Parts: sequence; C-alpha cells; structure tokens
Amino acid sequence: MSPLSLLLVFAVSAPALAERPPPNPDPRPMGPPDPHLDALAGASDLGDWAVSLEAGFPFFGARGQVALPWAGLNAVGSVNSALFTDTWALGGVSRRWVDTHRVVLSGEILVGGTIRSGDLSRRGPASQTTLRLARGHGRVVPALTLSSRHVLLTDVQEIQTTEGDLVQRSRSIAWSPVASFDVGVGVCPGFAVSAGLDVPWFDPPGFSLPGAHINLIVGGWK
Amino acid sequence: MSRFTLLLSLSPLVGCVNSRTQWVEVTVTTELLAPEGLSAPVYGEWNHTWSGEGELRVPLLPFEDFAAEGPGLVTTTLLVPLDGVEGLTLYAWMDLDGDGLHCAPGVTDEPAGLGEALPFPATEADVTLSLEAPCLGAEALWDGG
Repeated sequence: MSPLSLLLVFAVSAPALAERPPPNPDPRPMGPPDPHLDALAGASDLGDWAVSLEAGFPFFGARGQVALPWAGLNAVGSVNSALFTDTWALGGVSRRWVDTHRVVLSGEILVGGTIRSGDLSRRGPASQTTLRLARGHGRVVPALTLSSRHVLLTDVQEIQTTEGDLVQRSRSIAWSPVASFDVGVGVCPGFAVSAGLDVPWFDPPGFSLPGAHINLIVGGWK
Repeated sequence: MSRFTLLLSLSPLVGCVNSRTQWVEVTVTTELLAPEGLSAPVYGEWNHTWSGEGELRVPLLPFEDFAAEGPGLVTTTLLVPLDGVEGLTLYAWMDLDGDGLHCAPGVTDEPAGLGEALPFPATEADVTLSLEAPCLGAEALWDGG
C-alpha cells in the first residue's frame, strides 16, 4: 500500500476512532454469572431472569423477575403469605440504581392486593416499595432487603335512617414494614440457595415475632 | 382503550372493600317514671341487649351514656350496629343527692330501672323506664331477656 493510500485510510477512519466511547473504567468482569446475585439484588441484567421460591416462618412465597429492554427495568411478580393467612399478590418494576462488580443497590415498586383472614381480617389494594443491597463475593452473596408495605383499607357503613339509607365510606392506610437479611450461595450455574432472617412488623406499633426462611433460586441464563 | 377495559383494569384497585357494616339510626323516645314526689337528674347507659356469639354471648353491653334532667319524656338519637349485637336496653338511675354517683357509701335510696326499647331494629323505638329499684345495678335488674 502506498503512503498516499495509508494517508487516505487514516483520514477516513480518524473521525470514527475519535467518536469511540472510552472503555468502562469499572466493568463488571463477570457480569451476573449466577441467579442468586440477581434475585437477591432484585433486578437482572438484560436477557436474564430469576425465580425464587421461599419457605419459612412466617413467610412463604414465590417471586419472579425478568429484565425489560427499557431503561434497565425489570418486570417483577410476587406472591407472599405469612402463614397462609396474610397473603400479598403484587406486580411492578425494579431497577438497579448502583451497580458495580461488588455492590448492587436496587429499588422496587410493586402494586397489587392483599387479603388477611382470621380475627384481624382485612383486604384491599396494596403497594410495596423495596430497597435491596447485595454484595457479591463470588458464589456467596449477602443481601439486605428493606420493604415498606401499605394497604388501603376502605370501610363501608350502611346506615338506615328515617330519611332513607345512607352509605358512608372511610379510608385508612395500614403500614407493615419488613426487613430481611439473606446469604445466598451459588450451587451450580443457574441454581442457588439462600437462607435469611426476617424482621416483620405487622400493624405497628404492635410487636411481631421475627422469622427465618430459605430460598431456592433458579434462572440467570442469557 | 375502551371505558370498559379501563374500569376492568382499575377494578382490583378501587373495588376492594375492607369491611361492610350495617347500622341503624334509632330515635328513641324514653318515658322516665319516678316514685311520687321524686325529681332529680337521671343518668345511665344504653346497652346492646345481647352481643357476641356462642360461649362469648353476653347480655347488657354498654355503648352510650344516657342523661336526662329529670323524669318525663326524653328523645335520644343513637347509632346502633346491626352486626353481632341484638336489642337496645336502657339502664338508668336517679341522682337524688347530686353527687354524680349511684348509691355511694351511706346512700341507699337512689332508684334505678331497666327497660328494653322496642321495636328493634327500627328507626323509631320507645321505652318506658320505671325508676323504682333502689341501688340495684343493671345485672340485678336483668331478668334474663
């Protein structure tokens, strides 16, 4: 190739080279190789998904998440029950806010409904906002989860009066925060287990017993 | 999106009622009868004649205070639940010495009475109460329904 041709090639390719983005200074060297980081962190990378099944005291449940191709969002579905008397069915989105190869912080907003049976029965539309902080240590992932649950309670009073029947509605919001600490361990690619402690707080300021659970986690394939 | 689809999608959120209770607003006309020559303020309480279910079913559960300036006709409006309770009964006593207490130590002559408002449930009811039993409580005047 003649010197003139080399000069021409350089002149054509120089702008493209100049527009190339700089390399990521803090890449995640392994990505999310196991589903337990994704599940405990609350959000998966694009193309990934995770499903976890939970059993323990007082909580039983299932949770699934799948990455959406928009803005780093995940679609999340969750069914959770305390001793099968206080059941929450929720769906919504989650997103990683902080994402390094060591620490993942995610936020989650879910809406749905809840039904509680028994003497303290209640039902209504519900929401749950959650913060999840997970730290990757290879196959071992500790994670802290803080959830704030709200239920909109609508009570209807039907009153017979001399002037006819009246219907009065009153609304209130019940709040039930839950904190959990988990340690997840990757067993093999696409499969993990975790164990954790729960500190629920049903209907503050009343006291609630702490609990514990184990999770089976699958997913994570691209 | 059609209105029907919109309503259908919102129905789980807005159509979920936590509880539905039934009440009746009762206007009770009470006739207070006192022994000849006695006139003093009358105090007492409105009771659910029966409340609870099964082994926890109990008579005379107070839910509202009662007060009148003296014997005669008194009209009261009460909001009474219809779920888990039955009947409407008034217990009252006459405060002869004006101390606000029914038969405080040393006092033995303040008359009391118990009467059931009928019909119930209804928006209008009547009860006649004879204040003729000195120093008896509601449980002592209860005849078992």
